[in-house]
Amino acid sequence: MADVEETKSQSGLLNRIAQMVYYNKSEITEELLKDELYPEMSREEFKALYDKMKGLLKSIAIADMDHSQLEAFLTAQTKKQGSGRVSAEQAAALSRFWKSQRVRVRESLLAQSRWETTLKGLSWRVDLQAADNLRNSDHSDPVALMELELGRDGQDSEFLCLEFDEARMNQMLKKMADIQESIDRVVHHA
Amino acid sequence: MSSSHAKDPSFLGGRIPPEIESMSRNLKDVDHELFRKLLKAVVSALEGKDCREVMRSVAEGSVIPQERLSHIIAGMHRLLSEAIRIPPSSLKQEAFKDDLRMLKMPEDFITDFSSVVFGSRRAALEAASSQKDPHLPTLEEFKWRVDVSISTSSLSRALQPSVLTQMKLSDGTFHRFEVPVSKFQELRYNVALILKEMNDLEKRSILKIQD
Repeated sequence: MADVEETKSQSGLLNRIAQMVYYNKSEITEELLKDELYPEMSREEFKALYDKMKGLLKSIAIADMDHSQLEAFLTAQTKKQGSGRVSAEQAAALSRFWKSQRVRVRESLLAQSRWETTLKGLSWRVDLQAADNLRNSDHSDPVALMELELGRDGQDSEFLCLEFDEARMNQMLKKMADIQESIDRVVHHA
Repeated sequence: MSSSHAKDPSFLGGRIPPEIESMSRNLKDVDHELFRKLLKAVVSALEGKDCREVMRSVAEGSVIPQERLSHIIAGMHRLLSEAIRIPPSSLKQEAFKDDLRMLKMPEDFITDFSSVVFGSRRAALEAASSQKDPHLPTLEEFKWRVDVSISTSSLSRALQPSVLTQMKLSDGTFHRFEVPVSKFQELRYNVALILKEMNDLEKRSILKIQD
């Protein structure tokens, strides 16, 4: 019975740490965590546990460990002496956590190092110009309207509205192909 | 007198615009040479060129008071704008001339107006007026760079490519932003989709607005 509870608390702890550190949900505090997961533990004891778990998670995340690296790392941790030692349950919780959250944590860390404005979203529509007040339209050319959402975390986005005729759109596509080629070259060398 | 069908309303509409009426009145005792100078300046202005210098020198060299000249110029501008609006398939040269005759303008002047509207300069005038359509900014310049981040303070092996973009728009503004690879794929896909839509639209020609 206690084991199941312990497992839940371990997983809960890791999830909460991730939310605070990686997913930017800052309403959770250490105090609240302790009350929620380990109410019988003393403050100092909990702090030690919290710091230990957070530290382990950080080491795993910064190295973006794969399965074998993680296993080796956790095994080493379980063989340590003293308070730094990780119990088998804790190691199992870390392993489970990382298996499911690795990609998400990595994405979050990458996003944290993007300080420039980034492209967040895009919407568009294609219109046919039917008439206007200055000249006739024998030839109704299609016009594409694009709305780009540009923003940074923590700031309101800016919406950029642009107009394209077919020629310009073609140019854009060609540039996109050039960029793609460049990315492919880079990815293959990495 | 042969019975003729009712004349179609003037290309200027049921009511002659006041600038044009005023122009007709003020064209009395304006000589042909001055008329041509003014017309030339107005056509340049319609093509988008800056004509203040030209207008000034025409005004200074003329005995006609400035106020009268401004009425003439305003009228010319309006008349030509209205005429260019209508496709040549709808407004034929003879009808145009007839409408101008109703304004009781000298025949020489009518011929000059006609040669602007139906002559070789028309294309330039149409192109210039389409620039004044209400429209959103367009992309004038698109510069890019692909970067790879090797390592960050929170990831020792990032190896993540990213596209840095700088756009210059027709309204003069610059926008610099980063496009993560996943977003780039989305952008590229959508651009291709838009082009396909545009091509399809032209092929289908859903709306064929013919006069």
